[in-house]
Amino acid sequence: MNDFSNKIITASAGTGKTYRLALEYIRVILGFYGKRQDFSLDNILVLTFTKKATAEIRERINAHLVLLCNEHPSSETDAKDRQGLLHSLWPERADLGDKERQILNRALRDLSSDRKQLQVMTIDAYINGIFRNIVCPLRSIENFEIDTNAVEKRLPFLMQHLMKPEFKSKLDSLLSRKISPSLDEYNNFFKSLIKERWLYYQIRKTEKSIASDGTLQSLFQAGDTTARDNALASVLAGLGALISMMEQHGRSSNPEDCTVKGFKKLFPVFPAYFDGLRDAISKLCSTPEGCLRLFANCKQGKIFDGNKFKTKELAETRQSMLALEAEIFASLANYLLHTHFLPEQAEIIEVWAAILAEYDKLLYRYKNMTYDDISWFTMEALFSTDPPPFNMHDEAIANEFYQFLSHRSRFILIDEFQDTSLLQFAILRPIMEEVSSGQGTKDFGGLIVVGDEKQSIFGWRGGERELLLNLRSIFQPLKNLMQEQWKILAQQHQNGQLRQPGFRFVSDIPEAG
Amino acid sequence: MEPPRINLASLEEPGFKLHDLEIVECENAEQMVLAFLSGYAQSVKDPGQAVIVDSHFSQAHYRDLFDPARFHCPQAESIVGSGIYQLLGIFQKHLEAMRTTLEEGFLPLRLILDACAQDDFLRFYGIPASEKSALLEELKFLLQNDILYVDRELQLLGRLRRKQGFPLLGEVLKSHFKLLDQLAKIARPQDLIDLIDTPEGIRVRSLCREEELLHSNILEVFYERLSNFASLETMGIVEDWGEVLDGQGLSLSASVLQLFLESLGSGKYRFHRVPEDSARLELSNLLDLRNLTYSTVFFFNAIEGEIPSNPNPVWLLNEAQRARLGLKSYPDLRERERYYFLRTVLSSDKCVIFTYRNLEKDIEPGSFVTELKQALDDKALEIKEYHNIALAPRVSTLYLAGVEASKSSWQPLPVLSAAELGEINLELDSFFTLPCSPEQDFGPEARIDAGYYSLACLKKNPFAWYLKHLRRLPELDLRPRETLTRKLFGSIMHAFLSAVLQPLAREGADLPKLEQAFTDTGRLRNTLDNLLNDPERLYLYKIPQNYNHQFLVSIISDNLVESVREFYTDFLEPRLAGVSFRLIPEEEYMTEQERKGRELIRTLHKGREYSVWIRGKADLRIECPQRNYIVDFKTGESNDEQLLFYEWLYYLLDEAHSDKELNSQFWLVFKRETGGKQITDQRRENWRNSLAEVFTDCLAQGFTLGKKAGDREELAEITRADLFRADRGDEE
Repeated sequence: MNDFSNKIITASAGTGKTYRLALEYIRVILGFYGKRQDFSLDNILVLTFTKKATAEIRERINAHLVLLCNEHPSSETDAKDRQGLLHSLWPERADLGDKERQILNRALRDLSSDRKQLQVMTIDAYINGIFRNIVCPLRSIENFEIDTNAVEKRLPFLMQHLMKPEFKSKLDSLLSRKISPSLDEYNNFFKSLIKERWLYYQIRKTEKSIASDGTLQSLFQAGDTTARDNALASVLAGLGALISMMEQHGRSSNPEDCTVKGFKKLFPVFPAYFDGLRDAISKLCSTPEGCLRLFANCKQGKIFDGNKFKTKELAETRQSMLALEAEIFASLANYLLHTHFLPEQAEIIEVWAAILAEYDKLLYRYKNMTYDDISWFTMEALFSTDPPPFNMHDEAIANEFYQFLSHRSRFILIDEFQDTSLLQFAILRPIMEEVSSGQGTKDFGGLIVVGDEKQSIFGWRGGERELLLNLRSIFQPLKNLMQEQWKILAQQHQNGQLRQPGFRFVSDIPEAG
Repeated sequence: MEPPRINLASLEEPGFKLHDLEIVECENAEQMVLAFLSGYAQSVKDPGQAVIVDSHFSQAHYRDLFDPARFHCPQAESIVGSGIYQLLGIFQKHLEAMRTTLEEGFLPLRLILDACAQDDFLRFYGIPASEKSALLEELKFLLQNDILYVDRELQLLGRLRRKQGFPLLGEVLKSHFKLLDQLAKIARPQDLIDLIDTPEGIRVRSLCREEELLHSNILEVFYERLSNFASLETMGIVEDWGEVLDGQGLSLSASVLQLFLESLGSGKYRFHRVPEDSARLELSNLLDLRNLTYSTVFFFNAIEGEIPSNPNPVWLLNEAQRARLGLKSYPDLRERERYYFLRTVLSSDKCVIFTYRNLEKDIEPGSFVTELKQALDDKALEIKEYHNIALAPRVSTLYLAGVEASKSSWQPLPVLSAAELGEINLELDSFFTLPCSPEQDFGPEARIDAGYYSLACLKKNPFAWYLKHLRRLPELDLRPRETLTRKLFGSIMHAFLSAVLQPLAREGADLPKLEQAFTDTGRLRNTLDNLLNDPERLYLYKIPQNYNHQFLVSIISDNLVESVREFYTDFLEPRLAGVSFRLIPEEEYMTEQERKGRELIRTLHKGREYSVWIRGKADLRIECPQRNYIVDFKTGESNDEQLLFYEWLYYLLDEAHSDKELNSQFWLVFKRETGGKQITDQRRENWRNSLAEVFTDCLAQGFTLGKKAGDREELAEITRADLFRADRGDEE
């Protein structure tokens, strides 16, 4: 039976999230230690994002325990802090009961003499554990090193591979879009392809799943010449009509007087007559690159200078010209989609496949991996359907998985959840679902997620604040997920009435679903 | 057999005699060692009865601080650190690197620099330590000329014009390439063995350091490993080594050598410098302490993960499976470590436990230490605890202490206390200001001569300008990467444009001739290829011979040619159609006027006039009856100030310029478009005035650091001014 409430706690920076997480840890101890025979302290797992945070939470838990177990604090400050802690745990009680005192004393003793019982680790370290214990035997990886510079070290080999004649033409076209004198200057691009390989997996998976869906397929299909030509024809017709309107309603015979600056810059020498402009436009749009320049130069899709058509009598004309401009740029975007975007996408995906294939070969040869590699291989080994490395429903493997993951960790407390990447979440999700449902290998468990949707410091490595915002809707099976927000009682804190942050539940948001 | 469980509740068990326990919590491992060496080490009365417990001592970075005359580390040394292994490693790396170069005939300068930095390498080729700096000067010359490779025939050294030549480098490389030639013949292990101790091959004794030969058993270990390696051949397991090692030529030679290095690498050798009977403080580990008792025990690195140690990575079976099968699992090993630890502590008279804590790295004192502390809290035994020990080595005297120590008269390590550290003050205000002595700095003519890049540096960061441009102290990258830098590419591009434009300028070309020259892409490509292969231009030694070379010849060259074609259609044709013009492209050498320069600024300081002269050469000028054009070709970022510079240099200082319009633009080679904002007379004046202001400030206040953080990154490797963050110095 599970008498634990799962929680999503959102709070701003500086409101004492570490304090709160440590408090939740103690709540679990009080609720289960000594009460359930099959509960041990290492059933509680706290996940963080940095080693520093790991150490801070560990220290804070220890400090909370020491403070609570010390019935006669030596200083006034300690006494106040202890009182604050007690109040947070039991607002209606003055001190610990005998039973609680015994439980906390025992927990403090056990955690001090065996730090491994205090399971606080970074999410990278946790996934690394899954990888070592489950994925390595499965993939016959006997030993490997974690090397955060592994991608950097492999890049020269990858580049050498990419310059082989069979890839040259693909690269030529792709890299010509943004030329640099050295292949090394594309390092970040190649690195991103490796780092975001799960995206490649998703794209390939999506390609398969939409095979029967005509709309998306046609949108993403390069080489649809009819659609491309229609778009260009529409652009040219629109431009012709717009020039005629400018000629007819403008007050000058010189087109330079009624066009915007960006448009003028398209031509080394701007034509002095409208006929000349028609010729110049048709020359410019004769190549896709010319069209791209037109698109890029005319900011916000502006060609004509609206100030020159502001009079009352031209109001209607001006509206028609604006509508025409919008049509031109919509068609231009469609045209560029076919001439630039889709071919580029296709080239990227082809180069991506070649890079990943070679990268994996190098990875098996040198056996050094980044945390991103580990996350990816873990996710692939556990959940890939293309092809599935093993069947998760197979009892032996499932037992192995649960033995490692959920048998041991029954309460999961995640700090700074907004920094979780999609890939990490994909790996954590089953175990989060398992423990929060109160079912599975043991009939107790729980999930507490703490985060601040306003700040994500790991955005650069794929941290997804959206995950935090939508967690309740993602976890449909969860019925008793409680969402809390708290804010510090700033005034009290400032006045020294409370040295540790105190909490007030601002609102108890109704349960999902 | 399972170890007995020690019950900390009853410490009166026979054999437990601890009466002095100290727990010293430092900031890190370095502080731990300093704390030990500066105090505790000398308090040991009977070194033969004392032990330091440190499982990783033999690999620890601080091991060199422990004098072997006083500390005995029975653990053997890895052969990887020996002269033999290091030199063979260099040879292997060089063979491997040459493999991918043109006709396997070039060696990267980076590797030569690395090798020359190693005393083993210089000793092997007979270069005395006294000539090391002269050798470095020769290497620096190559670096300053952007050389990336040296060829096997050493033709490069003949082509580079250096007054003193390359006597040392030439000698070393000649011998080195001769040896590499021999090694390149290796196609199987036997070939390597046949080269050992032959006159033209490798003499093993010459690979070793003197102390290794005199005081260690390294030769014994080496020959034993070599004979094991030879058994690969005698057993006849492999017939075709090329197939097994997947290569031929240099690749195969490098692989065979690598195979030998791998078999050699696990070897250990021992030094026997000190007579075995002298009493020394023993270094040991938990496992080796079984059944031994010492009167004084020091524990190093008593942090979580070391004592107790972390679980080892699993292989084949995980912890749960091992436990189920009755095999040893982590809890068993932990229990064993706990027993060894507590037994050693409790059976000693005096025990000092060094531990440390680091929040950033998640390091904290180990569980056994906290368990021990908790258990002893209630006992009569008083634990002395010290926290946050912070000491700093007095570097100047550290060396002397080391010398003294090596003479067997032990001196404690001298250290500065935290209080003494606090007394050191740096004058931040003036630290990054170089005083200006105008007469000395600007010479008898009281002027500076500067090109555009020099002036740009002066404007941004006078401090760096003084070092780099006035005193010519360049920042050298001693590990040049084999990449195509923008600087090198810019030089190729300019040479190419010059080769295209110069014949046209000489002929006095008209527009049809320009069209013919600029749109014949086949001819343009030929011009570029000839340029890249011209041995006198040294591109052969400057262009990386890896994937970048392929990228340059097969992708970039086409783009460069295409950009030149578009320069004609988009820039030249629209501007020059129907107009008479004169093309003035950049010459290989400066014209008399360009070399002489022009005076841009004149200012008075303490009764004497000082001036700034500018000189340089623009990529292309086109003079028409109504208008003059200045064009600069760019592959990277551009700054309009460069165009202003050329305008002043060529036209604005002339009285006659005012009746002609000036039009200056960049041609952005890779974007294939023009760049640069419109230049007004106001901007022209402002630029000159701001330069005059900087120059006057330098005369009056000295050469100060750039005000923006980004500007201070100039010469960062030399000055580390990029770390300067005083509030007043940082405007960003």
